[in-house]
Amino acid sequence: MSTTTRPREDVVPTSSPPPQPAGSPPTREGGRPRPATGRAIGVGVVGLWLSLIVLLPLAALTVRSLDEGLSGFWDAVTAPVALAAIGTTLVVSAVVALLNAVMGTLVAWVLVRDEFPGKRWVNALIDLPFALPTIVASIVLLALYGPSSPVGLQLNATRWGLVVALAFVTLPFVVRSVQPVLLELDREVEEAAASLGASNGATFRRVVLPTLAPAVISGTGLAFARAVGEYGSVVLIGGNIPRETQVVSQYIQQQIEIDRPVNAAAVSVALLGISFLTLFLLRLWGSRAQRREERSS
Amino acid sequence: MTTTRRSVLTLRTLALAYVLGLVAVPILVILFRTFEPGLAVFIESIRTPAAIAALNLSVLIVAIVVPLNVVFGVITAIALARWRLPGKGLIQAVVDLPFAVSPIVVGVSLIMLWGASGWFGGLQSSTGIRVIFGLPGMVIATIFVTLPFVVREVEPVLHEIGTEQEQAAATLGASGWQTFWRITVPAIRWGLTYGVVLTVARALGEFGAVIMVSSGFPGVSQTLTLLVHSRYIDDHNTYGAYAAATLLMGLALGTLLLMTLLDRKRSPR
Repeated sequence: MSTTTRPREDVVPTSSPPPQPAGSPPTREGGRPRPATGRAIGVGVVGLWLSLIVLLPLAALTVRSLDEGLSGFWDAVTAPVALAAIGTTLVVSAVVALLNAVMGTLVAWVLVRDEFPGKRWVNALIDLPFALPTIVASIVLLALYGPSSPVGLQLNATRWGLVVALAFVTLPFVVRSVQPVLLELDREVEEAAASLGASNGATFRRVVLPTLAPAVISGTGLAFARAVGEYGSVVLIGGNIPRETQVVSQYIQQQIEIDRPVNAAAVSVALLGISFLTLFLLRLWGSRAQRREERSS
Repeated sequence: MTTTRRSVLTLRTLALAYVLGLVAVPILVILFRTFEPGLAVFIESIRTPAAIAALNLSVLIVAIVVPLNVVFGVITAIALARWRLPGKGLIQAVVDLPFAVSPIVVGVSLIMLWGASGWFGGLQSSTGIRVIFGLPGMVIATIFVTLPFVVREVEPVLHEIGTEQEQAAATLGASGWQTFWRITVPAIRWGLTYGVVLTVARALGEFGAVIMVSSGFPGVSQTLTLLVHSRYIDDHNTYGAYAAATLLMGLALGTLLLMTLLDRKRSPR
């Protein structure tokens, strides 16, 4: 699944292991030395594996990005074409995130509250973008929105092409995070609001939206984080025109191709920073909302 | 909310237009384009030597990546769920890290570590093993992007089943290995299978990280996703790209179907 896979319920992982019953763990004089050595080996293996696969490459990236000093890093990130690519990425990702917030919520609403023939199929379609390889997404969208479009809609090499590609790959995030909340939403509260004379708009704004907001925001944030780093789905439809439709990931790829590894590393670190910041803010906001909820209940 | 018939219809139309226009119609168009010239043309297009080599390479990468992810993923999940470790939060964060990293950044990072002028660049000159622009690089890139799946599917199951059965087995004199094989493995098998399916799907479909570390020679170092890309960009063979994409799509849909079936099996027992 290309991807960040399904919307993750574990944005705020609660990983408190169940308390161990007294007496069960092997004590020092308990005469069971093997699990202890086994564990030590296990911990070593896990540490080594995670370091070799994940941490060392990222450490090498960060160190190499500073090969030409802090000023070299800064020059690489603020080179006009690099800045333009970062700008394009942020603008397009923000548009896609907002589009997801509105349309994703609407789609979730229709899938939960509405009944129509073929609803199950539409529901199944939502997961497709996570299952399809990103390069297939690119080709698929080109078939409809590309140069040989059967409906004459040519979006390739435009920013709208980027929006369509990113909207495709991020479709499930908001829908799948809002759907379960809508399913649990108490309809009686809405009916009460209506019977007290609240208009549809007022009921939606004052009753429904506050309940949905956490799910919408978390889905939107994840969609934004995914859009910022996306490569495969935009590579064919985006056009890769510097200063116009080139996104950060394409710029980085180009810098590697023309043998400017330090530039590529520096902009990569900047991109990593943007993704981490987004996810960090999302997590911070999520734990705050949770605390507020706990206090009010 | 009291909703009139008209507003319901408007909302439904908007939502359907969005989903169908974005997902269903493009897929139908590509299927039509692929099969329009006939099934024989399609089969011929995915049976060229380059296409067969690409399929083989994709399958080979999956065959290397899956066992590694299963072994190390299960050990990591057990460590996170069962053992008292210092810095567990840090390990959790590292396991989730690959989800937050752009595929292109994965590729660049691997080049910085394993490339000829990277930290481990000496490996290539001393042993002659080419990691970047070779099979090892593509395998490592795929492991990076699929690392979280097995851990994230197995760990919650381990929490859920608790330690009682394992302790009972230990009390009855079972060794650590016996407990693992007879108690733990049967309990986590569906979670593990789900994690493997996610890994396979992502490994088959990975593009950005792999294209960065592959030399991309047709018939040698092209995976299926790279084949789609090079047919469209380098060969201007739009039909060939459609056909290869349809093949990949078939594999992806098969995986999605498997996931739906498995999901039913692993959720509430």
